[in-house]
Amino acid sequence: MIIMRPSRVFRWIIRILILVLTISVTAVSLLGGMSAIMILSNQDNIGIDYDNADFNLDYNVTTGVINNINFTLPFNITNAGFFDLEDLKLGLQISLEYAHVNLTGTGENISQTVKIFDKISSFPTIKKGKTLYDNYTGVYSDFAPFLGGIPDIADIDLTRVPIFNFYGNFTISLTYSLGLHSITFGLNNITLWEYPEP
Amino acid sequence: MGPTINIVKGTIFTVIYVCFTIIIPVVTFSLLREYVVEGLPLDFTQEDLNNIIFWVTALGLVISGCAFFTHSSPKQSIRRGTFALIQVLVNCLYLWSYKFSGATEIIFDLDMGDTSGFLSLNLQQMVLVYLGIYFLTIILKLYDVIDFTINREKIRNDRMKE
Repeated sequence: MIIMRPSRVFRWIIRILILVLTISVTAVSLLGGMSAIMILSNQDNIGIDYDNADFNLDYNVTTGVINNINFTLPFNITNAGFFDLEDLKLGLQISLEYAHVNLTGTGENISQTVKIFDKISSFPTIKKGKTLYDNYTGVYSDFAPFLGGIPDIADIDLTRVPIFNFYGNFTISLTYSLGLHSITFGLNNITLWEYPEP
Repeated sequence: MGPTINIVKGTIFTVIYVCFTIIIPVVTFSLLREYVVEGLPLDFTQEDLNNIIFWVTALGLVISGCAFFTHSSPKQSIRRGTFALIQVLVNCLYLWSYKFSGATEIIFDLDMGDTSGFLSLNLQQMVLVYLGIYFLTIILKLYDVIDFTINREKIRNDRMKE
C-alpha cells in the first residue's frame, strides 16, 4: 500500500477546489451563452412599442418657443434565459431634423439636425422567466439642457411638411450570468415622430 | 511506466489540447460570422477576426506542445512540474489574447433596411474570472515544483519501488 505524502493530500484538496471553481464558472458561462441565444432568437423578447407611444410638443410657430415637450414610450423585455437580467439600462438620444431656410447655396444641405434629448434610465432586475412592461419617459426638464440648440424660428422652413422630424437612437444594455456577460443592443435613426402630426 | 506509454499519454493530451484550444474556438468564431437571429443576418464586424484566429492558433500550439511534455514526463518529476507551470502561464496568455485581440467584445452589425443597429456581447468579466482561477492554478503548480524539488530523493525511491 502506498501512503500519500501530506503535501500531496494538501495539493489534492486545493486541486479539487480549483476544479469545482472551474466547473462552476464554465457551467454559468455556458448557460449564460445559451441565455443570450434564447433571448435574442425571439424578436418579441425585446419590444419597443412605437405605435402606442405618446409624444407631446407644444411649439409656438410664431415665436419659435417650445412651451412643453414630453413623451412616453412603452417597451417590454422578456427574460427567457436562465439567470436574472441585471443592470438594465435604456438610453435614448433624440435628434430633431428640420429644413434650414437660409442655406440656399449650391451644395449646402438644407436638412439640419440638432440633438434635443439624451438620457439613460435604469430599470429593475428582471427575474428569469418574467417580462418587464415599463415606460420610458422624457419630460420637459430632460429636454431643457438641449433646447438652447433649437434653431431660431427665422432659420426654420415652416412651409415644409412636416416641420420637424424626430429621430431616435436606442441603446439597451444589461448584464446576466451573475455579471459575467453583458449585452448591449442598439438601434440607430428610428423615425419616432413628426411635427405636426399627420 | 514505460517511455512508450508516456509518449502515447503525451500525444493523447496534445490532441485534446489542440481540440480545446484551437479547433473549437476557430470553429465557434467561424460559426459566429454566419449567425442568424430570426432571419436577420448578423455581420461579424470584428475586422481583426484573423488576428483573433492567429493568436488562438499560435498560443494554442504552444499550450499543446507544453501539454505533450507535461503529460509525457514521469509523475512528480521536476520536468513535469516545470512544464505544467509553463503550460499554465501560456494558458493565461492564451486567455488574455482573447481580450487584447478584441474577442471578448463581439460586435454584430444589424442592417434592417432603413434602420441600422448593433449587438454587442461583452465577455471580458468572464475572462477575468477565469484568469483568477488560473492564478490559483499557478500557485498550485509552483507549489508542485517546490515540492518535487525538496522531496526529490523520496519521490525517486518511491518510483523505484513501484
